[in-house]
Amino acid sequence: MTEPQHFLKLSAQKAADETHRLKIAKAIATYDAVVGNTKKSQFKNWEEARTLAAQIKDYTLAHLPELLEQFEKNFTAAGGKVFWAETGEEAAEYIVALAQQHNVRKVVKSKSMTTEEIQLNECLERSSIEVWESDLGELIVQLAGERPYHIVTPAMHKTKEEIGVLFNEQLHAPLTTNAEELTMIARRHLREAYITSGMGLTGANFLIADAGAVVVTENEGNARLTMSCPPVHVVVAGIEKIIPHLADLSLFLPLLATSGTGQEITCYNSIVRGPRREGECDGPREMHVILLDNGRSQLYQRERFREILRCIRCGACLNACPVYRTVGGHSYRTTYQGPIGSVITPHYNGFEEFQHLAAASSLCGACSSVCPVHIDIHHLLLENRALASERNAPPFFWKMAMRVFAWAMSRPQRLQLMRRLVRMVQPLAPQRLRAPRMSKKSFREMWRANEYGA
Amino acid sequence: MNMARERILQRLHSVTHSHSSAAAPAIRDAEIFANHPGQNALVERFGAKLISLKGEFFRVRDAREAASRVKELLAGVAANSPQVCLCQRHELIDAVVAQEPWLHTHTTPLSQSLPNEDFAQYQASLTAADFLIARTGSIVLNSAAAGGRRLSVLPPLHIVVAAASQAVASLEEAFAQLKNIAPASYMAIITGPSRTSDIEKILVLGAHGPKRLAAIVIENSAVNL
Repeated sequence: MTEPQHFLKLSAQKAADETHRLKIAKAIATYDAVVGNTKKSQFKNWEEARTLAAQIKDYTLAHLPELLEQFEKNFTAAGGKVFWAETGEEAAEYIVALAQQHNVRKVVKSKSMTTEEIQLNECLERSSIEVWESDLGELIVQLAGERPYHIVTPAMHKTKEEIGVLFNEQLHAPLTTNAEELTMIARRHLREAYITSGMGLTGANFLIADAGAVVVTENEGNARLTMSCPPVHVVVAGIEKIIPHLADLSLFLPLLATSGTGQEITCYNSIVRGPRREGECDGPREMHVILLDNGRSQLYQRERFREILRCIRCGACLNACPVYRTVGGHSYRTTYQGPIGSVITPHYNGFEEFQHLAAASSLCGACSSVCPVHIDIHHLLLENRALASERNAPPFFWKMAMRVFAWAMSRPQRLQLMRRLVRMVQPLAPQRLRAPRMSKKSFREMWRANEYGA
Repeated sequence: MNMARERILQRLHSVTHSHSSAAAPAIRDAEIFANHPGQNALVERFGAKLISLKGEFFRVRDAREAASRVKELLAGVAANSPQVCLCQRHELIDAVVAQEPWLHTHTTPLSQSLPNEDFAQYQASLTAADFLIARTGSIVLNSAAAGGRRLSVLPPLHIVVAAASQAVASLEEAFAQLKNIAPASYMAIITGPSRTSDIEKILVLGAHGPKRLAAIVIENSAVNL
């Protein structure tokens, strides 16, 4: 099956699955309520805050190569190592080689979408290196043999009952449906991983040019343990993660937390400037940062798409998207789901395979309206559609349909003819596609008959 | 040596920008945040915020009172075991421990070379901090001042002792004052005890880091920080 066929099949299944819809609706309703409150209580003016954030990101993009070099210089001066990777394969190969060089048999990982993007777990496992996901949501999807359902909430689609069964089967834990007990099972299970792993792997939420620092945002403490206990710490970061100044965090940390989870600031924010220094009693002996391109610099060269590199991966556009809410995170079969994923995936993973995602949008603009860095996401989906039609002549059926549409819309009488035709065939539609019936009379007819009592 | 580096930078440099000379916009927390505390009642604001995040907060007059608070907290978790708490080696912590013989016998100064496995035996840790952030209820500490990276995250109870003078209004101020702090490889901004909502958005404390976080703020600290 091709990717578009997979998408159609999976999304049709999920859209008709009412249990799935209820689960997602419940999770996102909880999110919406708390995010709405935090925007009001924390910010004087949310709109101004996100405009400022977009300006800082635009400044960053205008100086991207210089800021990356500044980061490299400062981070290297503090004893860290920087590796630039053009592709995911180059990044994964570097990490596997590093692990082998240190005789690492076990790696502990905190949540990182960038490592998902380069399929690092698969590469490490092929070289017989164990990978322990330590974020609770990531652990759940890893044990279930699935991909993350959501870039911020990987196990959003799992009920506590399902997780109870999973932990019982995979970790031989006593069966429970209590969220606290389940969390404690994960806590006990992972202690050993932090203590005995030869390498800790994390992503980065921000790279700070002036401080030469990597910033990791989290709530559980798993990322802190991952970069404190093992002797080697490796960070995989997209080149767009850079911001100019340490002081910029006083806006970006609250902004990311508010849009991501509705918190004012997440529980733990770590600012790491290289490996353990002289006089420090612990921390890794080596720290490596992999600056990953993987299609980003090509997007950067396209002026219209450059703004997508402002993205801080908060997940707000997924939660707001009526398509994501209906078809769920797995139908996309991509690392990044929802509107942001539909914009970037074709550029990172192959335009031919993933261009259909540009059509997985109602163009309602909900994504753009919630974006904390003001990315015009839905117009970028239109840009992807335009690129797709430049590359491939549209299918015959599509051309015909567009012709009929143009014909029908160009005269009122023709539009009315179409209305009557559609009204006639509507009862033949299958139940799940049934929409409200076309009205018997047109608006014009009702207006003339003065049915509005004007 | 790394050809990828040259190729990536070359692609990035190939783009010309129309407004690239403009300066980076400045961030002023007081202009952005509705709950900016100004310069008033910083310790109260910090404490109230920490409590709302399910942390514990104690305001004490001096090191003697701080010591008895620490003892109460530790007695709760450790009943009879003699070694319950690892302590950072720090002037303020030493001053507090010195006030109370019980603390002498129930705490262990962090040794330079403690293996990961041995950390698991301790139920609590006692550290100092760099800043207390009033707006967000956050504690800022670094790997030099906090006795490394693991001490404040591995044991299930983390007790922070700080002086009232360490409270600042917002993160912006803490970042501005950072130049007075010895450079360290790691800095943490800690806002409440470890938490997760990964299972059905239900809040659970103590996911991987400390289940309990207690801050003891000393009004009149003899130690000059």
